[in-house]
Amino acid sequence: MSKALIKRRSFIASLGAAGFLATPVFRASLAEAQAAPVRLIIVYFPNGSGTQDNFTFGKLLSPLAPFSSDITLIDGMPDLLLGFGLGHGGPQTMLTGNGGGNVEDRVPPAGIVSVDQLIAQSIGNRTRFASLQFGINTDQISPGADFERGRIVYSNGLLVPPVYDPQTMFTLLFAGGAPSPAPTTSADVAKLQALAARRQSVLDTLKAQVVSLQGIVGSLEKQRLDEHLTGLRELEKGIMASSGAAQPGGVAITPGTSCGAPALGNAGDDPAVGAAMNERLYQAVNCDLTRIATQQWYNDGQQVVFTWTGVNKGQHGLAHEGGPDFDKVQTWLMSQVAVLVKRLKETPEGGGSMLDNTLMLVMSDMGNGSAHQCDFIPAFIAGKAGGAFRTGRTYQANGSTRNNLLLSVARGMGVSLPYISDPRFTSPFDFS
Amino acid sequence: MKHVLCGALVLLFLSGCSNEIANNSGKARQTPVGTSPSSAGTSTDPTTGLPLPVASSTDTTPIATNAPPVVIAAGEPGPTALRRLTNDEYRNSVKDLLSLPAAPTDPLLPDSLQLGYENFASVHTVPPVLASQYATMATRLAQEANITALAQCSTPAADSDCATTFINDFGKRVQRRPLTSSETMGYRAVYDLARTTGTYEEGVRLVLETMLQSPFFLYRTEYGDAGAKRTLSPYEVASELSYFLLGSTPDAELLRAADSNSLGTATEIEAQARRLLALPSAQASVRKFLAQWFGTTGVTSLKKDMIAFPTFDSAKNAMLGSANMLLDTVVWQGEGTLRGLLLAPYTFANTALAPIYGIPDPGQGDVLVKVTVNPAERAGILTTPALLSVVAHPSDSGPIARGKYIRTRMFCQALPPPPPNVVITVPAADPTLTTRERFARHTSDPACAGCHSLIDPVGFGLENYDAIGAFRTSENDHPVDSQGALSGTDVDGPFSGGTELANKLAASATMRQCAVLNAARWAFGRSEIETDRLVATTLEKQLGSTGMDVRELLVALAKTDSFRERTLQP
Repeated sequence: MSKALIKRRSFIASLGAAGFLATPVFRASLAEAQAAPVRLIIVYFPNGSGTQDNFTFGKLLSPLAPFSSDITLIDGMPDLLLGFGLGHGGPQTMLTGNGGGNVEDRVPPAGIVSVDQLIAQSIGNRTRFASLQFGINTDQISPGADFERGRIVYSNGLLVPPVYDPQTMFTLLFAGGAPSPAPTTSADVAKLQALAARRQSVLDTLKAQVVSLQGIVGSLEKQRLDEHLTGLRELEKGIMASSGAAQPGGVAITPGTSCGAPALGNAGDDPAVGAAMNERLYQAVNCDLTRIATQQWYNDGQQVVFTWTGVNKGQHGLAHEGGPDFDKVQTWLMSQVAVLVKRLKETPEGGGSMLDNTLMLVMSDMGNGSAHQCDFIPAFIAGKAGGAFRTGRTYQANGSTRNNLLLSVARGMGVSLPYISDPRFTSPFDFS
Repeated sequence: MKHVLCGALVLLFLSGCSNEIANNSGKARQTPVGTSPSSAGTSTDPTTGLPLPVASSTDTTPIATNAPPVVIAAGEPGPTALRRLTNDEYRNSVKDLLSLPAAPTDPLLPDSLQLGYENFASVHTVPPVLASQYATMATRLAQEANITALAQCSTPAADSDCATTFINDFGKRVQRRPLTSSETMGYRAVYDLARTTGTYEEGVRLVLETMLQSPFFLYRTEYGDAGAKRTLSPYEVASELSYFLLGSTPDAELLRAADSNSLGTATEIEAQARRLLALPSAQASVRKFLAQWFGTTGVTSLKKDMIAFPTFDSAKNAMLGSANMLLDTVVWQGEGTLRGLLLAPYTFANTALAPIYGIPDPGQGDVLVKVTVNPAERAGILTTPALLSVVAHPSDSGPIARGKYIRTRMFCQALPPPPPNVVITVPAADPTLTTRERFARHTSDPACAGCHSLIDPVGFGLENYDAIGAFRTSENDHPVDSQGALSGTDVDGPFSGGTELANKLAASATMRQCAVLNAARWAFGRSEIETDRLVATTLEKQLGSTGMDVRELLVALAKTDSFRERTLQP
C-alpha cells in the first residue's frame, strides 16, 4: 500500500477549531528511536482453522509463506478454559485467559482484563495512546441475537470496544492532518501554550467532576467511572504531546519525519476497510503513537458473507460446515495479516526491520470451527520481540494451555506477571 | 489428546435440556458468588499432566460476575443506576440544548446492544476513544455555537456576572438539575482561565465545551436520596421520563415541574407522561423502542447470499422503512395496540419490496405506499421482510433461529443452551431437501429432541418465508411444510404459517406480559427483575383486554412505584 501524505496544514491551523484532537503528530524522539521499542500487535481471526494441519504454510497460511523465517508456529496448544456458549466465549477468553462469566447473560466476569491491557497498564504511559483497538466489521452482531459478544479486549471488568470505522481511527490518530513541524516563532509557541492551558483547564474540571460523581455511586459504577478517568488522562497526554512537554513516562515527544498519516481512503467493503485499518495500525506503531495494538477481524458469531472471495455463504454457517469454502475465507484473512507483516518487514529499523522489534500474535478464538472445539488453537507469532524470540520454527506446546502463551507474551513485552487470570497456569512458553 | 469441547467445562454444571421452559429469570444473577478460579479442583489431564479446571460440585456459579451486589426481592424496586446517555440520547440532547436544526452526526463509538436494546446501563462506559470523540464534538459545537443567543451580555462591564449567569442557567439545562456551588466554581475556573488570554466569548465557549462533555451531562443518576430504599429526586424523575418517552433532555416545563417538586406522585407523573407523548418527538422514540424489541433495526446491516438473494441489498433500506412505517401507523394512526402491531392487515411497499411481498408494483418507485396484504400470507410486524430477514441466516430461513426468537423475544422465555456433548454441525445445504427436512435430525435424535422439540416446531411454522422474507410454497422443488406448533405457552397448539402464529401471539397474555417486560427493559436500561414480572402481570390485567395500547402501556409503566424508587446497590 502506498503511503500518501495528505496535504500539510500549517501548524497553528491544525490546532484550530477541530479541537482537542487537532494536535499534530510527532514521532518519538531520536533517542527513543535508537533503542527501538518492542511493539505488541495482536490479531484475532474467528472460527479457527478446521484442523491443526490446516494451519500451515502449505495451506491456510500460504499468504504468509514468504515470511516463514520471521514466524513461530504454535502447535498443540489447547484452551482448557474456554467457557460459555459452546465455544462462543472464545473471543472473551482469548486474551483474558478467563473463560468464566454468566452463561445466560454473557456478562463478563468481574475484573476481567486482557493481556494487552495488563501490558498497557505497565508500559502504556510511554506513548500518546496506551493502547489502540482496531476492528474490521466487528460492529455487526447478528441483529437477532440477544447479546453482544465476540469481543477480545477487556479492562477493569469492562469491554473495550474496537474502533471499526477507518475515518474515526484516522481522526483519532492524525487529527485530520499530516504530521507537522514544531512551532518555531515565539508567537506560535505562546499560542500553543495558551491553548494547552485551556485544554488542561477543561480536563481538570472534568476529572474533578468524575471523581465527585464517584462519591455517590455504587462500586460497579465507580469502576466504570475509572474507565472514564483513564480516557481523560489519555486526552491529557494529547495536550502534552502538542505542547512539547515531557510525557509521564519520560519520553519527550519531538517532531520527526519518518512517519506519516496514511491516505484517508474511501472505505467501502471489508477489504477496503481492512486495508485502511492495516495501514492505520502500521502508522500508529511507526509514528510511535502506541506500542500496543489489537486488531480484530470480525467475530465468531457473525453472518458476514465474503463475497469478494467468491464464497457466498454466511461466515458462521461456513465455520460449522468447514471444507474448501471455509478454507478460502480463512486464507483470505491470512492474506490480510500478511499485508501488515510485510509492511513491518519492509520498514528498516536499527540493523534489521521493524518486524524484528515487534511481537505480533495472530490467533483464533477456537480450534475446529466446525465442532467449535478447542483441542488446539491455531496461533503464530511473527517478529522477534526485539530479539527475545527466535523465529522460523514450530513451537510444540504439548498441550500447555493458552494462558501460558499469554504469559509469554507479557514477558516478551518486558512485563513480568506470575500468571494470566488463572494461578494454575504459570509456565510461559519458551520462545527464546 | 483429550477431546476438549469448548464450553463443556461450564456447561457441565447446567442441567441438560429437560423439555422445560424457564422464565428468563437469570438465576446466575441472583447468586453473586465471588469464587476465584483458585478454588477450583486439582484433577489433572492424563494426557497433558496439567491441572484441569473443575468447579466444586456445590457451586454452580464458579466465577464471579458483574452481578449487582444486592439481590432484590420480588416487589422491591430496581437497582440504583448510573446511566450513560446513548449516542442518540446525547445527540438529541445537544440538538435541544443548542437549538440546532438537526441532531449532530459526529462519530461516536457504537452503543453496545443487550437484549436488542442500546441503553443497558451496565455495558455503557466512556472508554478512551469515546472520551476523545466527546471532546472533539464538544469543541466543534462550542466553536460553532451562537454565543449571543446563549449568553448575551449587554455591557463588557457585566461580563463576569453574565458568565456566572450563563454557567448557572445553561448548566442547569445541561446537567438537568441545578448546579451545586462547587460545580459552578469549577466551570467558573474554566471561564477565568480562558479570560486571562481571551475574550468573554472565548470564555463562554470554553465553558460550553466543558459542559458538553461533563460527566453530569453524559450520565444520569438514579440514586435518589439516602437509605437502602431510595426515592428518586424530582430532577432524576424528569430525566427518566424525558429519555424514556422522548429520547432527549427534559424540556423547560419538565424542569419547572421538578423545581416545584411536582413529580412525586403517580398522578403528577401521568400528567407529564401524557404531555410528552403528545409531542412530535415521541413518535421516533416509541418507534425506537418497538424496533429494538422486534429487532427490525438490524436489517440494514445484514448481508445475504448474493447469488440466492440478489435483490436483498437494494431492498433492505426499504425493508426498514416499511417496518418503521408499519409501527408508526399502527401506534399513531391505527388501533394503537400490540394486537394491532401483530395483526395489521396492511403494510408499506415500494417497487423494490413489491416482489418480496408478492404484490403488484405500487408504481411509485422508491416511495413506500400503504398496501393491503393477502391475509393468508401476511399479518403485522411478524411477517415483515425486515423482521424475517433479521431472524434468518444469509442463505436459508433459519427455522431454529426463528423458533428461538419467538420463544425469547415474543414470550420472554429462556431456553437452556445445548448440552455439553453435542457437536454442532449445521446440515449442509442439500439441493434435494427443504430446510425443514435438513433439520429433521433435531427431532429424530433424542439427544437433540429435548430442546429442539421446543424450538423447531415454532420456527418451522414460518417456513413459508425465505431468508429475506419472501413468501414461498416450495423449496428445491419440494412443497414447503409450514405446520408449526406451540407448547409451554398459554396459546398452545398447532398452527399453520405466519398469520396463524401472529393470531396466536395476539391472543397470548404471556406475550402481553412480555411486552411489559420489554417496555421495562427499555425504560430502566436493564434486564428484568422479579418485581418487573409482578408489574407485568398487573399491567397485563389492566390493559390486556383491549389488546394492550402501546402508549397506555408506557404511561402505566411510568406510574408504577418501580419508576420512581430504587434499591441501593452499594
